[in-house]
Amino acid sequence: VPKVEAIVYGDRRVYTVSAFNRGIADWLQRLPSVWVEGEVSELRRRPGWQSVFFTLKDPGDGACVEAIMARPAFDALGLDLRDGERVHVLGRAEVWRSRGELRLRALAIERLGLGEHLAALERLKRALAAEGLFAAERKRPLPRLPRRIGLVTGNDAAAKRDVITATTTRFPPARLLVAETYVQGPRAAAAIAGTLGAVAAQPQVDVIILARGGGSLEDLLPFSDERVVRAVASCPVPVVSAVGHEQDTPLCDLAADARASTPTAAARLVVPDWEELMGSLERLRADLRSGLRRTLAGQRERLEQEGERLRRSLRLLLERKRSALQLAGGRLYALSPRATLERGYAIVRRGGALVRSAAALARGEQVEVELAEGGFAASVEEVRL
Amino acid sequence: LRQIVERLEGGAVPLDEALALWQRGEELYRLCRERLEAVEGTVEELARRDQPQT
Repeated sequence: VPKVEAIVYGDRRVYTVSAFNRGIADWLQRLPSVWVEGEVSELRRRPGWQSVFFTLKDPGDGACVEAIMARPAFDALGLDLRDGERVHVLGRAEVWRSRGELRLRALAIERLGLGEHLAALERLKRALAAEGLFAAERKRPLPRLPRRIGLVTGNDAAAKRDVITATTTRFPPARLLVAETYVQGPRAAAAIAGTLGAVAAQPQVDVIILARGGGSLEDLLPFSDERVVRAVASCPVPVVSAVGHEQDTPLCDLAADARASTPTAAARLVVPDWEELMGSLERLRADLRSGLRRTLAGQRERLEQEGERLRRSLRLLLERKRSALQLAGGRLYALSPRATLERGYAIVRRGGALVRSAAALARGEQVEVELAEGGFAASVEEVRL
Repeated sequence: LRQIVERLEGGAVPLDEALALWQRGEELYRLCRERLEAVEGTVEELARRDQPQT
């Protein structure tokens, strides 16, 4: 390898592209080897090639680096790596001289073992919990009556059929939108996350059931993948996680708005019981009628009472007027001379005028005498003064 | 109707006015009753019509 030497143009030092790349490569070689964790994709191992190429991808944010490994070394690992598998790569930074591109020179590759998977899972769980993705206040209530239910499931016939049967048995008019996806293998996580989003975007889908029959911890790993957990948490409609599991809870369960241990439980969460609903509808209708009847009966009673009061009040008023009249009559009577006459007095008139003094009369004059009962005419025989 | 009843019950109403009030009261009573009966009729009619066919 020739030394990196500059060409001198007057006071300027200039490098050729090749020298520049070489210089960077030399410098990078001083960096230590490190372990890098990522997902294998686009593995290229062609006949006749001296090296094996693949892209190592960060499942968190999709950052990539190209990796290269000498073919004999790769084949000696006997790993049979497939796209999407999580690995640890021991390597160092290197520049591909002819392209000036950075790549990872792999010296060793280890498939992530179950122990590492569990540790990674625990780390992810803590990180997502710290972010608040599993917080109780994030849980959304499920719709009372979903217009359409999204069902994201594997092509595992049993899990799919069980959820459909449980849902339509409980609520015959239920409308389900079933989307099958990979639920196992390296492509599952991205597929589940994508399918969730696609189903949520369908018109009228109000809730999504994410279903999968039970399986081993490894089988269920995609349901703990950060992409799936985030897709569940950020799903625009509530998600019910119905991922069968024996011991450990997949992380998507923690992010879901509700979790169901069986398809029947999922159905119970997502749709109301048809019979019960119809029963309560009929009861409500009966209550509506009897309530209205009761209101009407009450109104009628109040009206009758008012009518009764109206008539009674008039009678009472007339009675009061009558007794007032009687009272006035009595007082009038008391003031009239009648009472005096009753006591035996008499009124004497001459020519209609009252006679108050005997001196006003003369013998032989005609007078009228009025008594309590009747009267008579008389002539004056003698005047006594 | 209630106001009329209360005025009549108060008793301080001249006779002519009392009679006029009472007539108005009876008229209101009749109107209320007619409306109430119309509503009751509608309710019973709807209830009969909605009865299940069984």
